[in-house]
This record gives sequence, C-alpha cells and structure tokens, in this order.
Amino acid sequence: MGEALLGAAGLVSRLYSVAAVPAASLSPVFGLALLSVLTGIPMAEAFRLASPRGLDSLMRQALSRIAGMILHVDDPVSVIRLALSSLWRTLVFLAALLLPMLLAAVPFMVSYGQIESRFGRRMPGDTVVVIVGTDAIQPVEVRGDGVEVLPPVVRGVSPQTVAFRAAVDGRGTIVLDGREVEIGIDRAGTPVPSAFSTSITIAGLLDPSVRILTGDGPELYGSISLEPVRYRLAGIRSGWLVLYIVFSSLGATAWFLLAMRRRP
Amino acid sequence: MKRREFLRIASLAPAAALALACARGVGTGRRGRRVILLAVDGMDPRLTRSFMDRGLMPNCSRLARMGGFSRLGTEFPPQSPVAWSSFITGTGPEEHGIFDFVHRDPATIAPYLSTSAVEPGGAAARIGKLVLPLEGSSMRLLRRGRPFWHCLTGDGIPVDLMKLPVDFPPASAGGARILCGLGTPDVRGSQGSFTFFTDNPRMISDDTSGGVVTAVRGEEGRFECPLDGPADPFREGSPTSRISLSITVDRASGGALVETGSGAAVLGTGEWSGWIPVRFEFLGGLSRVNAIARFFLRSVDPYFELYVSPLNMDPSRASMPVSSPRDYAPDLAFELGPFHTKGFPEDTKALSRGVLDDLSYIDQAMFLYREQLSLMREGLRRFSDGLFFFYFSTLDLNLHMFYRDLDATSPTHGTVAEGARGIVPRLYAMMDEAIGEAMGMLDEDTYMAVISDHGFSPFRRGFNLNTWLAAEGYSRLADPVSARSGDMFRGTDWGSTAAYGLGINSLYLNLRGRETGGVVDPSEAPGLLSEIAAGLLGAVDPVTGLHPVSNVRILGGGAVPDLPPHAPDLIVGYADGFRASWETTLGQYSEDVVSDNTDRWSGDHCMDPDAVPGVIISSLRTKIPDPALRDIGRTVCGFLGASTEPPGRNILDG
Repeated sequence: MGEALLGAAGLVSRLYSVAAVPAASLSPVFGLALLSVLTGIPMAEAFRLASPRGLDSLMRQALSRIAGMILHVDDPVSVIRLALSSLWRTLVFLAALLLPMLLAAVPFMVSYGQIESRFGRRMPGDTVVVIVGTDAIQPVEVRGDGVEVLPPVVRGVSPQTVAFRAAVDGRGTIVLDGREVEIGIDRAGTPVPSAFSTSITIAGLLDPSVRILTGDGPELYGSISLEPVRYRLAGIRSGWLVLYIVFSSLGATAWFLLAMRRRP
Repeated sequence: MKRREFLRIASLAPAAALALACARGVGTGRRGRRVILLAVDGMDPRLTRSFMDRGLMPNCSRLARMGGFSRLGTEFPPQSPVAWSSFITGTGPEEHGIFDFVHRDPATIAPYLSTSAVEPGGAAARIGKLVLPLEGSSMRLLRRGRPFWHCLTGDGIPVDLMKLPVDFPPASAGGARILCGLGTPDVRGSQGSFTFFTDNPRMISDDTSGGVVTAVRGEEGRFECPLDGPADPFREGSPTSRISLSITVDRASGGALVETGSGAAVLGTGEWSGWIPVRFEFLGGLSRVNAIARFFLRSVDPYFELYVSPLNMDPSRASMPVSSPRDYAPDLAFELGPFHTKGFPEDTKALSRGVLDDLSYIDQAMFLYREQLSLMREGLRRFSDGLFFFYFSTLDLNLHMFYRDLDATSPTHGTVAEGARGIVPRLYAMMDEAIGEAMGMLDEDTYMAVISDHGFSPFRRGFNLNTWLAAEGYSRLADPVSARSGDMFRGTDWGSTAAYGLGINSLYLNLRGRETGGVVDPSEAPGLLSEIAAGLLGAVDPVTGLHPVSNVRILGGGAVPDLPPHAPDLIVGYADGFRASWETTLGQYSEDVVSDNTDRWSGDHCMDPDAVPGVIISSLRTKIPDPALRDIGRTVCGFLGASTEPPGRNILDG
C-alpha cells in the first residue's frame, strides 16, 4: 500500500517535472508562472463541472434587484423588499458556489506542494544545515557523496540528534546510516530537498521536497535548512505563493471564460 | 482552436509581466552632473597622510592628486552625532540642537539619547491584562533644521543617502532615498545590547553596560537560553518579550547547534554564524517583530559560552522605519540578503567587557565592512544622477578599540593580541580599496569627495569632571562612599552643587528655574562659567604634568542666545591623550580626578576639535583655506546647480 502511494506520488511529481520542462532554461519565475497557469485549468474545470445550473441566473437576479432599488429609490417599501430579495439571492448564490470552490481547491492543494518544492525554497548559499532526529540508540553515521560534510558534526543525546553543515555544489547525496538523501539542486524547476523521513506522511506524498527514505534501519527524520524565495515582478517583490495564486487564478479565469463562450 | 488560443494568451501574460519586470532599472540614457560623497567616520588626516606616504592608500593618493587633500573642520564637541547633524543642516549645534551623544532632562537629570526619542502610544483598549493600542508608539527624530538635500530634491535632483547618520527615523527625507545609519536602534530600542550565555561562574556579572551575561544550566548537553526581545505592547506594563533559544552542545566535537525557532546554525568553537532570523511573536502570532542576530561560539569545554549579537532589525521586515521610502531597505535585502541595520554595527562593548577577544572582534568587524562594501556597490550600481552618499563606520569604531596598537604609551598597548597587530593600517588600506571602487564612477561631470567628521587621538587618561567639580568646591558630596559606588549622581548634595558633568563633553550649571531645585541664580551664571572655564584650563594631571583640558566653549549664561533647555552650559575640549573618564559619562565620582584609561576603547575624538580635525580628499580643488564639514551640503548643492542653497560655504567657489 505504502509503495503504491509512493509510486503514485512519484508519477504526479514526474508529470509536474515534464510540464515545467519548457521553462527549464529560463528564469524560475517563468516556470512558476507556467505551472501556476496550468494548475488553473483543472481548477476551472472542477469549478465548471460542479457548478449547478442557473448560477449566472442567480447572480443576474441579485443584480436586477439592486437595479430595482435604484429605480424605486422614492418608495421605501419597495427598496426594503428588493434589498431583502437581493440579499437572499446573494446568499443562495454564495451557497451554490461553495461546492465548486471546494472542488477547485483540490488541484490547487495538490499543486501547492509541487510548486513550493520547485520554486518556493532555495539553497542559502552553498552550505546548508542538516538536522537529523532518530529513535536509534547507536549514533547515526554521516558521510557525504558529492557533498562535503563540514565539521563539527554535533550529536545531541536527549533527544538523539545529529546536526551538521553540508557544502554542496549542485547536487549530491548525504548518507545516513547507509540511507541516502539527495541534497542541493541541479536545475531550475526540480524539487529542492528540504526534509526527509523513513515514515510515509501526507505531507511527504504531496510535497516532493520531502524525501521518503527506504531501507532497513531505525527511524530517521530531519530537515535541511533552506530559505524562502522571493520574486520581483513588475517592480513588486512577493513570495512564490502570491504569484501562484495570481497566475493560477488568471489561468482558471481565462479557461472558464473560454468554456463559457464555447457553451451553445 | 480555442484551447490553443487560451494557451497562447496564458503564456503571453506572464511573459508580458516579466518583460515589465525586466524593464526595471533601465534609465533614460540622459545624465546630468553628479556627486559621490564617501563619509568615512573617524578618518584621521594625520594617519591618512602617513599611510598615503607609505603607499598603503594609492587610491586616496590618486584622488588627492586630482583635487586635493585637506583638513576638514569638525564641530565642538567633535562627536559624530553633533558633526553629522551639522553636515546635514549646514549649521552648528545651537541650531540643530544636538550637543552630545546624550542630553539630560533638566527636571530629573536623567540622561537620554540625543538623536531620537520614543513617542508613547495614545489610547488603548484593555481587556483584563490584554492591551490593544489604538495608536502605537513611534520614534521621533530630535535633530532640528532643514536637511541640505531638500534644496536638491526640490529641484527634482535625485538624492541617495545610504547609511546616513543621525537621521533615524527618516522623517525628513523630502523625496530623498535614505537608508538609516548611525542612531538606528536595535529591536529593543537601545543602541545595541549583546547577550552572553554561559555556565562559567567566573563570567557571571551584574554589569549590564552594553550587554548582559546570562547564567544557564545544561542538561545532557542541551541548554535552553532565554533571549530578551522588545517590550510587548499588548500586555499590561509592556513587559519584555522573551524567546527560548535551544542549544545542543557536543563537547566531543567542540560544536553546537543553535536553534532560534525561525533559523538554525551549526558552529564550531571560535566560529561566527551568519545572520540568523530571530522572531518575537505577540498576541499569539498576530503581531511579530523580526530580528536578525549573529552567534559566536566561544567555548563548549570546560564551559559553554555563546555570544549573541545585538538584535538588529531585519531589513526585509523591519518593525521600525529604517529607510525612506520604507520599501528601500527590503529592496536592498532582496538583492543582497540580510544586512546590519543597527547604527553602531560593531559591538565594541563586547570587546571592552572581554566577551569577545581581539581576534573574534576583528572577524566581526571585517564581516560588517564587507556588508557595507556590498551596500555601497549596490548603491553605486543604481546611481546615475544627482547625489550619492555612503557612510562607513569601519574606521571609527575599530580605531576606538585598536588605537592602543598605534600608541606605544597607551596603558593597554600590551593587550593587543598577536594577530591583531597592525590592524589600523590594514583597515585604512581596506577603506582605500572601497574608495578606489567608487572612483571607478569618476568622469568630468562627477565630483567625488571622501570626508570624515573628525580624526582620532589617543585616550590614555580619563578626566573625571564631576570629581574635579567636587574637588574645586563646585559640587558637594553628601555621601562620598555611595557617590563613588553608584551612578547618576548618587550621594550628591544638590542643594550645595553649582555644576555637574554628564555625557562626554557637557557641563551643566544647576540653574535655578531650569534644574529642579537649582541653586545658581541665572545672573551669576556668566561669571561662574568663566571661573569654571579658567579652572578647567588650568587643571594639571599630577602624574603626567600635562593640562587635561585645552579648550572650552561657553554656551550658557547668555553667551549663545535662545539655547534650548537641554543644551549644556559649557563644552569641555580635552587635550590630546585625555578624555572624560568613563565614570563622568554616567554621572559617577572617582577617587582621583585623572586616572589611566584601562579600557580597550583606547582612541577617541571627544576632545578639543583642534586636536581631532576631519579630512577631505576630493576630485576638485578646495578653494577656501579652512573647509568645514558643515560646508559640504552647500558645496554639493552648488555643484549640482540647485536653485536654492543651504547654509554654509561652497568650498569649490572660494
């Protein structure tokens, strides 16, 4: 079961990697924009398919009552009646939107971890701090392959932890009690490893930067210190999440409008 | 077809946005005259000339050959806040209102920082112990007067002032782009306070000057270290906020893992971290103050000793305005990563207190110099037109600490660590490299000047002004024992005290109608001040036979009209080799009037201005014989063709 889940998560991650290929040689913001816009398509489709019929009619009814209020502004009874009617229809409209919005949020959430792992974090220079926790009694052995493990390796006893700095140029591997964790980044758009665990978690399945360690041995878990990426677009600085929301919303809106135009 | 159309539009939209983004920084291609001012705090004309003659400062020599090298008049007192305020306004202390590092409230004699003050917040809603401020507290710049660059920005001439001293908060930007420098506090609102965690009983101390030593106990190599942050405005009484640093110590490897909750560092013994984020949260995380700190692991065996630098405001998310426009500092941090924001970046107190040794202090100083260099490079990269100003703290703070290496007669000359020998010429040579980089921007339309606010002299002997006043009968100690052990004039009989010293160069009369319980009638003030002045000039150090005071300036008693009540009545100009003793600055008395300065703070400039002039090295010839720092603003405005001119003289016009 666990391996099937891991396989599915790996497949999803590969799909995102393929989708990011056209922007691989460009600035990371292009890749972020591309994946975000593409995420907008399933969001729009989910929204459209789950939308009850007559949603636009409900909106028009609410707006027509507001127009009626303006027309009958001298007649307080009509204004109140129309205001209550408009309010009711607006509430019905919002309630009708709830399910489509929830469904549209699913592709958004699935993409969240994928995009954050690729465009939301970066290496803080060429050295990272790796902190490993374990339930093992024996000290965890640490070595690097293509990664220089810099002294000192700090070992804590309660709880059992190992912390060290790893200097990495591009991408390498740290080996913890024989189990390998990729570290670093080789090209824009690939997930930057930020955590690892021997246990399969929901976060690990949705976020490819969380590496699942396989193989026999004691439980291991840990983190690799990265820093958040900030982008500058049109002179405005923002985190990746703001751009993700903006571009996925743009993509969803464009796709939704096209679908509405196609409707007979 | 429509799907293709969608994909085309969807791919073009981000491309268009990115093209707009890339357009940032593209200039118009047209450029007018420009001025580059490099302000090197504490650059001494005699040392500079000497190092130029030895070939250590080739860029300064080249610049001096293009225009000239000259002494630059400083202010009286020659203190940085005073001198840079004069630079900014083109006026003296009586106009801009900054007379010393600290002023005192005449009603309470309590000292306060002269450059900025906290304005308490207004009304607040209270729910039990929870306080919801309806109007937050703020900082207020105490410097008065119109900054010279208003004459430039008023004409649409761009002005970029990086690490500008005495301009926090930057309320008077007037359209200039400002990154605040000297005078910017740490997140606690102080001028910088380190924290030192240790389980070494010999290091524990009640001394809180410049920082606190906190005793901690480890359990199985794990230390929970309480780090104090800013006051919590949301709790009754605004108690100090606190977070717990989690430190894992491994004596076998000689290292430690430092976790702040928002960042982590692994350090070996004797290693510095980079800037690590430290976050203080209020109201369950609804409000937060973001700081950055550097950590130095001094020892893990036999004792755990960890130094935490003063908590600088994180420039990307500062809780107080450290730039104008406010977005400027975050923008620089976006390009360069985090950088120091505290006005006094080098932690000199940690070296004075022995928490850092010479070499670890120098490591810190070099790190800060490299940051300042990066900021200057970024500023120059963006600069095309108008005025560019950049301030370096490197020479000033490090000469304070290492003048003892130059001065063979300093009481602390023998304390210089082997690896720190020759640090002063090295620092000057480094500064020369920075000057050389800026000179790369020189052309026929550009005027460049390297300026300093004062020079340096040795600080070998400390003169206790309050002890002298007591010895001469101008003040009386009701309880001499407590007067020598406590600060802030403890044990002083105010009813029989006519004058007192506070700050570094300031002497005040205990004036009736101004000081609470003042005893000196204003009509007696002129005569009394003249008498004190004559006495000070005649005082003799019994050990060296030298006069500790070589100059005085009387302001009070009507000598300078319309003085604000915080102004001193007399400014003491100490002779070369002398300065106000450390006890004087705190309102303390000592056994002897003059005593050896045994602090590593071994060089100073708070003296007679004739002993510590500044320097100007410029690309154009200075045409007046006695240029002064307060003339620079007018000179810049004249060169850039401003339609109005600030006070001062244009040193290029003669």
